[in-house]
Amino acid sequence: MDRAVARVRRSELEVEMLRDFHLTLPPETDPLDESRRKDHVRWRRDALAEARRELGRAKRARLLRRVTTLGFRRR
Amino acid sequence: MKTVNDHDEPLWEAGQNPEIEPDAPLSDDLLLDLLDALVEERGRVPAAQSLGVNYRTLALCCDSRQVSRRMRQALVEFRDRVSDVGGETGDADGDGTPDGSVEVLRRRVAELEDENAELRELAEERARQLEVLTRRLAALEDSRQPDGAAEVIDADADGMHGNYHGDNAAQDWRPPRRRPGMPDAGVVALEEQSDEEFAFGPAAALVAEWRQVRLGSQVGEPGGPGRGKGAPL
Repeated sequence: MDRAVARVRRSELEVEMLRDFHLTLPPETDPLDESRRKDHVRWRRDALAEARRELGRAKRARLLRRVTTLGFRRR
Repeated sequence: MKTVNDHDEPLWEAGQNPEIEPDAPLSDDLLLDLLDALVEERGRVPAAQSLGVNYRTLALCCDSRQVSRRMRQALVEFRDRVSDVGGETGDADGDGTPDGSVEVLRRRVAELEDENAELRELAEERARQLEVLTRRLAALEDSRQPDGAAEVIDADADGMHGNYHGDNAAQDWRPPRRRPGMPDAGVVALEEQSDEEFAFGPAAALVAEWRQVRLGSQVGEPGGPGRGKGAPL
């Protein structure tokens, strides 16, 4: 669960840094041109969507665990 | 009408020059132009059907650029037929092409001219932008100090793309692009670099948080830093 939250936040940060602040993220070492920047933003958006889906699955799994264990198991 | 040649009676195929009627009402070139327009518009087989000739006769005429007697007759008849039917197509020069194709071609030419004009305007605008950027680059190089990166960064030409010193995170903030691979070029490294808070401006907090989250997720993953293929670093 925490890992899924971290992945979501990390993807959000990467999208914001690339799109809004025009930064270049590793492993790139040279500034990106507009075309490649759009590609990178798109990849991060895809990763963000996947991370959000994974987070949703993790939340549902946690809820299912709590229901089936009557709340005795927290994690 | 006087004959020129015919593929059924292939004078030119036998190596003889076709007799071209000097005072012919329609020259071979005009007939070939008409044929080309017809073929381009409809294709060879429909064009042959429209002309009432065999496909091979039409193909031979197209390929050899020689107008046989049969083709000449067919093209003249076709032209007369089209002129009778569509005389109001506005074909001023009398070299009528069938079914209003002149209008189509004129519209196409007008569209291409408009497109060409737009492209010219775009190219001129790009050239002006390039000139402005070249001037700004020259001004930046002139104002560049030999020592001290901070002074260099502060010496941005118009101040629009300088570093962030205020409280509001301006959306048009851009990292100064000086030295590729360095923070002042907007390139984030995995480890914290010197002066990067100054260089990244309002994004410095995001970069710090991103490093923290990245390290945390690596610690939490079983493989550690060596993660799966294709995953962003």
